Parts: sequence; structure tokens; C-alpha cells
Amino acid sequence: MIENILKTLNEHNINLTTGVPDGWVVPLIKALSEDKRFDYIPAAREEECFGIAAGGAMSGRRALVLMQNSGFLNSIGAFTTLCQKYQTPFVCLIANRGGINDSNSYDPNKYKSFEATTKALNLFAHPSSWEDLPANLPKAIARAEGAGEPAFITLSEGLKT
Amino acid sequence: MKQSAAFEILVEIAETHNALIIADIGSQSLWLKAAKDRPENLYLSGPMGMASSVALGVATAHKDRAVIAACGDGALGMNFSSLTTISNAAPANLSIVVMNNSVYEFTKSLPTPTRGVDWDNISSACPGFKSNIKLVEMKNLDLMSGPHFVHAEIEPGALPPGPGINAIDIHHRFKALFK
Repeated sequence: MIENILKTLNEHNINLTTGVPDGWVVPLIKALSEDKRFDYIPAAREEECFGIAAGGAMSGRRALVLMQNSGFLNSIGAFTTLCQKYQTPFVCLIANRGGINDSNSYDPNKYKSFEATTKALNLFAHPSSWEDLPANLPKAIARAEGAGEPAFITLSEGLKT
Repeated sequence: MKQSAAFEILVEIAETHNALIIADIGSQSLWLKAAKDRPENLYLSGPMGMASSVALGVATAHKDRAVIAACGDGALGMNFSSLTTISNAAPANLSIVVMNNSVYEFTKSLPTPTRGVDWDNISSACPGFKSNIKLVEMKNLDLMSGPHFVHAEIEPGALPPGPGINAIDIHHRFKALFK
């Protein structure tokens, strides 16, 4: 699974990656960090990730961002005034905590706020399974570049290893 | 030193090294453009404090090119965590310059909460920075052996003229350098 995802990313020149860890995406972050085909920049805060990816996009490089839904909520100002205003295409993989597969008591508000906010901002956010990621990532970067805006892919559970 | 003079020095250094400059909102983007408008300048006119992070993305994407982030002290204070991220990632081709006038120049010059920060000792807390110097010392610096942290002490002053260029045009003019 992870190997397929990395192969897809590399084949589509999505080699600049950054994120703030969520437990659901940790196996992917570890794999990106250990693979020399990729630059993975661990960011201290999620809005930095949007800056890093926007810097990549505005200098002609494809980028992938990984974060929890609450990280997006931390970063709405930077996202709207940078990524939307400057029309920077990249893919953002969101661990969409607090949905049907998540029984943690501390996550539902993240889910509700993320769903409400992405709808209110009219953002493109496509739910995906892990199995479908290798097929969806190329479509997402193509969609991002065609639309001139980031494309979000949301995951409703962690990777089962 | 006036901020206009600081940017004249910075542009001269950038031209010597064929360096890219990413400038924060606040007065930095405007003073940079006033000093010299170059396609290598990326003016950020919306997201306060993001210049350091955008510059990190550019520097990581183009490791053969010197990249300078020109940040206001108020702006960098809004994204202070980026210094830890940059220190950890330690891109050799990135220099962070803080233009420190200790006020929010665009906000009626209210004092910034960063005025107590010891900008000359950032590398003590963030050891990934290979040097921590004053702007005048940057002239002799190898911009490809960083990351560097540069402190420019500037005076508060009059606001510069507006940029006269929109965000999407800035993006595509900059991106065209890499085709």
C-alpha cells in the first residue's frame, strides 16, 4: 500500500512534502521521510505547511501536505490569504478525525467544524479510502492545477498495517 | 538605518548571488519593490508572517538557488514556529532576514510584542542556523552555506508606495523563472 502511494507520488513528480503528524498518516510520513526521492519537511505548525507548499507551487514544483482536520482549522487565514489569493495548486491529505470510524470523544468537533468550514469556503475536498489513494492522487494534482487551487483528499480512518 | 536603505543593501546582495527574495506583507514587500522590482522578488500581500515558510518551500524545491526571506519583526513573530522548522530542516541555501523596527508600521506604529526578542541570538535556540549576523555582515556571506539568520535594525518611518501588481501576476512571474 505505502509503496504504491510513494510510487504514484514520484511518478507524478510530487516530491516536495510537508506535514504535521496525525496518527492515521504516520506510516506515510515515516515512509516519505526515509525515501530519498522525497523531501519531507516536518513543520511545527500547520499553517507553515501551506506556506511551504505554496512556495513549492509558485516555483513550479508539485507538493503534498499532510495534516489533521484540526490543523486546517488552525490555518484558515494563511490558507485563504495565501493559497487562495495566489492560486497555488497542491494536494492536501487530511486525516478527517471525528467521523463515522472515529469514536474518540475529543474529535467530533474537529469533524463538524472541518465539514462546515470547507463547505462555507466552497473548497474541493474529496473523500478517499487508502486503497483508492494511488488512483486519486494524480487526479487531485491535475484537478488542483486545472482549477488553480489546492485539492483536499480526506481520509476517514487510519492506514491498517 | 532606514528600511529603504536596508532593502537597497539586500537587493545588491541578492543580485550578486542571483538570489530569490520572498518578502512579507507589511512594509517589506513594498520597500523591496521600491528598492528594485525583479522577477526574482516574490511579494506576499495577504498572509502576514508566511514569508519564512514560503521561502523554505522555495529553497527546498530549488536547492541550487540562494533564497532570502525578508520578514518584518511583527510578521516573523506571527510565525515564530517557522524558525524551529527551518532550524530542523536546515536548508543550506536559505537566509532569513528580520527587518526589525519594533513596531507594526502599517498599524499606526504600535509596538510589536517581539521587541524584547534577542534577534542576535536566534541561533542559540535554533542551532540549525549556521550563522546569526547583522545585515552589513551579509555582504561577505556564502548564501549557499546556511541556513543563516540576519538581523537588520531599522528605524520606523514613512510607508512606501503600494505594489501596483496583483497576487496572481506575482505568482506567475515568479514561476516563469523555473520553466
